[in-house]
Amino acid sequence: MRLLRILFWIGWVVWLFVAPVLLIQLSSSSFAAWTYEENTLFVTWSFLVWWTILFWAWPFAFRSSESLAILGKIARGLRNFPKRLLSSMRNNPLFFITWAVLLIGWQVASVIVEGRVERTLEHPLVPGWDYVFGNTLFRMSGDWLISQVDIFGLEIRFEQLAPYPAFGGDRTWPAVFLALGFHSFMTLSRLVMGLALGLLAGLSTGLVISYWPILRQTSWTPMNFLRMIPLLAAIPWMQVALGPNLRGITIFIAFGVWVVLVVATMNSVANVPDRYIESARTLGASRPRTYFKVIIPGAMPELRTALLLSAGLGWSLTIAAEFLGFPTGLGYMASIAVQETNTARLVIVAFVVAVYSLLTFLFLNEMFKKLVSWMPQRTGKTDISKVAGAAGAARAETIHEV
Amino acid sequence: MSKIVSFEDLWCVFEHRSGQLVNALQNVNFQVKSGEFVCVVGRSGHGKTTLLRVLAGLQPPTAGRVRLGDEVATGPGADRAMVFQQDTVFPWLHVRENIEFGLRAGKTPREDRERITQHWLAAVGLEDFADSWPRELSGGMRKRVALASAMAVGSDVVLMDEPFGSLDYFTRRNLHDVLLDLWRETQKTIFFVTHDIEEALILADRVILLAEGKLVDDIPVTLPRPRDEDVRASEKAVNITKVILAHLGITEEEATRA
Amino acid sequence: MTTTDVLDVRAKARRDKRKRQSLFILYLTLGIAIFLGVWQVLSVWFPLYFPSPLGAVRHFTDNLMTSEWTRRWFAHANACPALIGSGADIPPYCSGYVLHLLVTTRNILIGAALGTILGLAAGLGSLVFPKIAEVFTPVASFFGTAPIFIAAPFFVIWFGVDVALLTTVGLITFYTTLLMYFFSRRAAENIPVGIIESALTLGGTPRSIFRWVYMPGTVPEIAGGFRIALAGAWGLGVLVEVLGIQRGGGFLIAMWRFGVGLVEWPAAVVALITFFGVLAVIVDGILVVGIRFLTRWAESGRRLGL
Repeated sequence: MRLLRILFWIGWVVWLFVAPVLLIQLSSSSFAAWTYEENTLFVTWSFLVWWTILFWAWPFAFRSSESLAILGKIARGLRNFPKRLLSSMRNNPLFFITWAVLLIGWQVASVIVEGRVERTLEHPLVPGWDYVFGNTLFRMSGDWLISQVDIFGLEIRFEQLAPYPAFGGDRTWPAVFLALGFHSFMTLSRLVMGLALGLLAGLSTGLVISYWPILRQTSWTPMNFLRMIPLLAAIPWMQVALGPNLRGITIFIAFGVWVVLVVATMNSVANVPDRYIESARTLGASRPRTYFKVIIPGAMPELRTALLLSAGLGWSLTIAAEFLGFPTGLGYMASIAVQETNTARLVIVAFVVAVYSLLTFLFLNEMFKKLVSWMPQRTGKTDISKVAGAAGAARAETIHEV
Repeated sequence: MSKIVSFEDLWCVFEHRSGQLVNALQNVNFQVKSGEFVCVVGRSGHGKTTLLRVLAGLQPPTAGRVRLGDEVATGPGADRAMVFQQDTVFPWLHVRENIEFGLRAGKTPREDRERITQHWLAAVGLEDFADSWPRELSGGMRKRVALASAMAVGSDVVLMDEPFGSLDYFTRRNLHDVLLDLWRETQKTIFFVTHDIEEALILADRVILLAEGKLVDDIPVTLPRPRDEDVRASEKAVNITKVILAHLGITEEEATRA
Repeated sequence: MTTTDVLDVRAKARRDKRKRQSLFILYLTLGIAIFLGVWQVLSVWFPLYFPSPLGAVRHFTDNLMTSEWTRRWFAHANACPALIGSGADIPPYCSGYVLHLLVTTRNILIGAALGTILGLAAGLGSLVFPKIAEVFTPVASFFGTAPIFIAAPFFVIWFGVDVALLTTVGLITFYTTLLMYFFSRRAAENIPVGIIESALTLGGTPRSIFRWVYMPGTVPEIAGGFRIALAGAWGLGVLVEVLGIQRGGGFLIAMWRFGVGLVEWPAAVVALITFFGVLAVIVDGILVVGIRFLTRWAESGRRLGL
């Protein structure tokens, strides 16, 4: 049983290292430009890597009994949702009022701007919600187009799902969601590839560097300099140097995440309090043992924040790279919106991206919580509003009494 | 002039995360004359700190009230300054500014403020450190700063929550002397929470014993001052110690064994 | 019995200290040397994409004051008509990199300053008026979790690429405001409860607690947050210029991206990016000095709010 578990872990790690490399090798040919073949290969292999990562990562993240419990929790949450919504509206009305004011204010602004600005553009500068969720959303069906894909000799004809408007087919509502789904899939594939590679490489490099003081001192300055380089501005360079393909964007995202994580790992290892290390050494633990059993767990709480931050960086890099030169993905959809000066389209894309990144954040947060489950729950957190409020209330009362 | 502090039918009930209710204070009733030095003694977790926090206004009681003279004490305020167990000196203010904090909040005019601050700096013996950062002081000196800040706001009642608990024996004894001098000079009412019976015997006019949130005994300590080793070894003092130990559920043998 | 001369021990302690210092310098130079060495090797392997470190520096110095490439680009775009004639009266943006780089630096710093003021006003203001937090937090956390780049196209559409000031400054301000709001809130939450309670029992009013507890006490974390925000602002500010603004460092990168001269473009882009990296390091260094001064009170480990 123990052997099996060890094998599982080795397999998991090896696969995560090998899979991206394989994918990169296979999906990027000598062509610099995006080709039909590459597109096909990309879709195929992205599908495979997604499937594999989910298959391997799922049991790791939530063991089967836990996943059942989580499903139960979600079901209960859904059932209680209307009740919770009502009670939270009563307890915290400002939250809902704020959002309502923002949404209605947008609609009002759209009417005002429409009246003031001359109609030289095809689309309104501030589109009302009717325009966003009516016309524009429907017209997004135009983005529905996937090349024919071979998966293990199995031919899948995506056109059967909904006709391609780009090839003269009818615009249909299913095509809208298929288009959004397809482009999200492309973006998420790139992100997952880059993040997986970057997280693993960053964590392992950072931990290796931290183990030897000489390595740490030597790499400190160059790594901190690399971190300060504005990587977002390097995207145009990346497109030519690394190629506007899966290999290029994966290396690029992975590099960005790697730099941030190596510095963060070095910092958080350095910040582990000396007394833990000293206590472990006096208890007779060897240096490697201290490192693995004391220092790395001790660095986890700080690392967790760094991991979440690097996921955010990964999102920004992916969207920006797609925006500047990929023919698929959510970033590409946003770039079309800018070309058409179509704010409504941008609103939809931005909303989708925001929801995805929120979900990524929640998912990663849940995963990393397991890493730091030893941590005491924070209870001594000041609720400033309450403290300041208490002071205010107390003052008011005393004044009232006098 | 100082006012009588009275606790009237004070109850404080907390709810644990498990939903269990805990009575931190149960029907506490007593009065403290102005200028009295009261030590609140009890085991940890038996309501000492809660009593002090209710008095300070940091914790609203579940039932009952605390009166200062005729007024009901509600929120925290400068009329009941408190010295905490933890290090609560503001690290970002110089020693002088720390002592001035309460005066500034109370909008004391500048000249008065400077005079008062200087007075209290001298009283706790920190004139030479007026412009130091708290991190440059030792733990005992930081406690002196906290003591001076609490004294300087000019409240009639000063609350102390095991203020010297984390200090070493010699520093603690030294601070006892400082505190007693200040008390004699100012005639303030002092509430002093401690679990150290020796400390209570050195300081108190009166010992309030709390057990499981109930006031179990109210012992006047009529030993002569100053209370040096001889006084504390006297029969009267030993008897008081025995009474306290008995109330806390510790027999004499246990105490000697420990 | 062995005897140790006190003077010997002290001399050894001094020697040890000197040894540590020289080792530190050794490792520092070694690190920089390795960094430059790797760069050099990369430039040999991929000469098309990597200039050598010296090549990048040379390109930068050659084009700083007057650049043939910028002139050509603007002449091509009919923005520098005088160029065709005598060469007199050339608009400053046609002459070299320096003005573009200064414009970008100015815009980013203005945006970061504005955003910091707004973010701190909202974050610290919410301590005195909790209602601000109730209104601001849900909105800010929604926009805060989204990758910030997605906000850039909005600014490009609304303010256009002609008025660079509004677009760049607007985006940076938006981004910095969000970050500084969260950092100031978190900084305030991390002030120990005991200290606030102590201030309350000393008669602290909300106003005096704000002035004497929250304002000084949150400085280390807010300063740390500002460094993080500014480090991100460089990339964002340059990128939004890449999207089509006709001035600034980002414009230069975009110009080279469209290939005004294919031989020099990698040198140009890498040089520009490195320049912004160096600039960010310098500005950060100045900040660190300032922050050290502001947080003299803190234990040395906490001074930079990390």
